[in-house]
Amino acid sequence: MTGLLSPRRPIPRPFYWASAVLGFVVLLCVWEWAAGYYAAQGKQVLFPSPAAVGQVMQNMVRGATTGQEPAAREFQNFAADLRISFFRVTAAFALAALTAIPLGVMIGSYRMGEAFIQPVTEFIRYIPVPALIPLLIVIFGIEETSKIMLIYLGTFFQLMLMVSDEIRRVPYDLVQAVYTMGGTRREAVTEVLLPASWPGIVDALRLCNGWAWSWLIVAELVAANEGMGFRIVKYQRFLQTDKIFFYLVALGVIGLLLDLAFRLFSKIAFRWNVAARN
Amino acid sequence: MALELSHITKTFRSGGAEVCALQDCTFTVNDGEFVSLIGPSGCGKSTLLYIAAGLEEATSGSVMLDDCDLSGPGKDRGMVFQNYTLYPWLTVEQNIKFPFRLKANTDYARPSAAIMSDVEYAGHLLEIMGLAQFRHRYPRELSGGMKQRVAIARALTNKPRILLMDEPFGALDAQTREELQELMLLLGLYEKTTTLLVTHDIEEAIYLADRIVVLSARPGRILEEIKVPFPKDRLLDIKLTPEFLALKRQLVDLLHAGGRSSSGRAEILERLGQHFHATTGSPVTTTTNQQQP
Repeated sequence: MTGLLSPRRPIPRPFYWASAVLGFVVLLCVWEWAAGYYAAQGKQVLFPSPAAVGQVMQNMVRGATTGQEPAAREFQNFAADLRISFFRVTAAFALAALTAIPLGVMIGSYRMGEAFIQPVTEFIRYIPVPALIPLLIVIFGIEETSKIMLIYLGTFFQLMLMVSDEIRRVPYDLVQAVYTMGGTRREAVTEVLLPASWPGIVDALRLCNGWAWSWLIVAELVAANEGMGFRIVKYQRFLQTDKIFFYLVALGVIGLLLDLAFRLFSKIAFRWNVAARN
Repeated sequence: MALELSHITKTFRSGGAEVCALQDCTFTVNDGEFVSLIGPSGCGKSTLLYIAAGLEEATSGSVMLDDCDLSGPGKDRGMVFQNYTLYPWLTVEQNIKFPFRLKANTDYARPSAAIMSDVEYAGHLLEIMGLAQFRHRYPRELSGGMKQRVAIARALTNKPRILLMDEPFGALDAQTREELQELMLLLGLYEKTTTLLVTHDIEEAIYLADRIVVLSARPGRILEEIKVPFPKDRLLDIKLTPEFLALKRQLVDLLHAGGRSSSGRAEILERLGQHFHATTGSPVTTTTNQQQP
């Protein structure tokens, strides 16, 4: 079966790109239409048009290049927000990866580890993380620690279970093969299960990084005096929805770029791995 | 005597009932010998091989290698699996040299010269198996036949006392299978490998083996051991000789003893007859079927 609408069959590249562009065009159209609807009622301040957000973007660029006030100040705020938010996410994410990967490997490799850790974490995992915010603030204060802890708790459990799933997905005969070559049980983990799972683990990291950004915003909406989430709340207070939109677009772009970085890394580091495509 | 299985019995529980998979299996594989283990599907021949490899435990009985009792797997018994089991993250060469990543082969107690000669041997294997120009390929870039060559080479890297093969060529097309059978014959001739092969392909069993061990249907018991009357250095042509065909006949009769296949045929014919006209082959509706006597 060939043709543009055959399930799961590849299509020519130009069609793929055209469709991708079309997706963005449709989004812009809907946005423009919604903005027009609000503008017709004289409420354009509630829902800015793409053009208005483009204006904010231009303003930022002007601030960055010319140093003209107040554009320069806006840009400095944006840069500072980006820096601190990035730091929070990265710190929490690194902490989650460093703890979740070893534990996930243990759960996936050893039934004892699974029985010891998994039931407990399944329980904790179903406590909604936002419910922990008041407690986190009480325990860790309103400084960086409580925010990093929130992001950490939001990603750690998911990541650990995803890593353990990756380990469990390795065909058991690969392990049997290492035994017949004289491998020890420890080597079955370090020489077979772990290397076989790396692409899946990196993919889990990619997904968790996306979630980490969601938890970051939750943390910053609640209690912060800088950061992307904080600034969004601040602009809300002054009804500067065009600037909110600018921040949302920025968050989207950051997510897209990080996702791309992870994918690129996977492609280069795991050349042996058949991509899941086709 | 290289490998000696004595009184191997294997039972397992299935839905509360005790199922006997293997019953009192005793046979040996001599030094330099190629033994084929055949039997009807589900008879436990692979289980027996896994027990010999130490990957499964027998309920009772013992496995001995060079008169030493064995428990658990070890590098003295190389294994080739049905599903290749190559490590996809390693290239062909890295796969073949994989055993040297393991402590068991880089033991400080061993003289480094011995390790070096082993590594050299792995290099030879790469050439012998015709894999030299594929050494930097990853398994996913190889055909099934190539993958199994790598798996055989990897199993031989350790210079095991015996090579255990679990239906290694079952998934390959006929031509590739013959190529690999040829390769196994010549390996046996030049490297004097000792091999125990599990297969469901009677021709393959005869063509490769010095001796054939026939297992019965579940519970697997040893029905017969048959010597293959051909020299080790044999050509594909022997498949057409009367001796070969007579031996094949004998094995087919052994495997199908109890009329299992003919009763299967009768059953299928009956089912077909219920839904198709034997003469025209066209489907008949139930009403016309009922009108018939």
